[in-house]
Amino acid sequence: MENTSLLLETCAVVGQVMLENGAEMYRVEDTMNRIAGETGSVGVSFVTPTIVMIGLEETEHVKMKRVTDRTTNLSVVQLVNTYSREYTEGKINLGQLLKKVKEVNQHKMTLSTWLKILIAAVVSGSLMIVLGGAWSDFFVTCFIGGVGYSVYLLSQRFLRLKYFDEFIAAFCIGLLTLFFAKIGIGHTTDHMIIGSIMPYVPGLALTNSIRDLQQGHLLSGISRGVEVIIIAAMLAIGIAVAFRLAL
Amino acid sequence: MILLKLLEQSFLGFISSAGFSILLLVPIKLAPYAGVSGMVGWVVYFVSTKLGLGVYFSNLLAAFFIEAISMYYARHKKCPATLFNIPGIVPLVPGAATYYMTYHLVMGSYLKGMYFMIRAGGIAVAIAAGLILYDACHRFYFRLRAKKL
Repeated sequence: MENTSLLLETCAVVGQVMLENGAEMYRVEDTMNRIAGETGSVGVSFVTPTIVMIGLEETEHVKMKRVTDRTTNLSVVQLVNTYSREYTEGKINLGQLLKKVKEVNQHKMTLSTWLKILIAAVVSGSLMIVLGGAWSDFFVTCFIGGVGYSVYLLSQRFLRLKYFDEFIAAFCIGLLTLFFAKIGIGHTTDHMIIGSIMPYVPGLALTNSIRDLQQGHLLSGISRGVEVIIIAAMLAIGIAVAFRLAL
Repeated sequence: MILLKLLEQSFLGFISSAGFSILLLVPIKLAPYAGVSGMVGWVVYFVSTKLGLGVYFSNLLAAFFIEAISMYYARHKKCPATLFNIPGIVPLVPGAATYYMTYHLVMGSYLKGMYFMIRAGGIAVAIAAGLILYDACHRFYFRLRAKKL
């Protein structure tokens, strides 16, 4: 009995941690079932973007975890994947796995704010050129992308309104670009805006959603797809408002 | 001249994918591999659009190659392929089409807005189809090999 509840707890925590950090549904279910299957019992799992459930075929126990905030931290996904692989290879036992996964989730790898802003700036600039902009606008776009990302991070830390972060970042990017275009520094306005908003375009959610649909996880696929549409609409509305104010 | 352009494009593709992978908190020592997958995908896209294969087919082809490289690295580095293919598709994601869609909708030219909306949806589906196509080929190949042995 003791063993079953520990097994279910471990499976549920592994699923929850993976889901909170941006893994795909089929990977989460597969990992949970594999951990449960290691003891000879058959695991039955059900995962959507907001809930993780795991039960064993031959017992009546079902464990459930709620997933409230989802971020993207692929290093956690990678580490949990490694640990669960170590468990199925028999290198560590169930208790150690649970402890390690919990530890990973508490001490997540994070980047310093300045590094994030710097990288966002460089990415904005290079994406602007890749998508057809001119080299003469490179540094302006880097600047705009950096300012946009700092606004995004500030809003994430202080406002704590879901989806509002993207709106305010896109709004600032739109205003800044139009301002620079007016004083004659930027020339390819369209490409500058596109390059700067690229860090917020939900590429991860988009591919995961279509992947989930293809794997037969209809519920998760549709709900993630809706999330993509909301974020894209927020970016669009932010720029639209900036255009209306400036023109 | 063409070679120089190709070099420029591949360098920028590498920078954007590797940078984006760091923003998604991929472990730093794995970021260059994500950059390589993005670079190859972007070069494939660039060349195939220049050859006149059309936007959708070029996206599909590029996503196919990105997934191939991601799966290769995933097997060799023993970590999920997601770490490499999500940053890899960043230059392909239809940000431009989405932007033009809004721009035209706001400016009142609804017909052009609808055109870009359909285009953005088509590109997204093409990318996903490319990824899934390679997955299917990969599985089919391994099943075939397992049966033979």
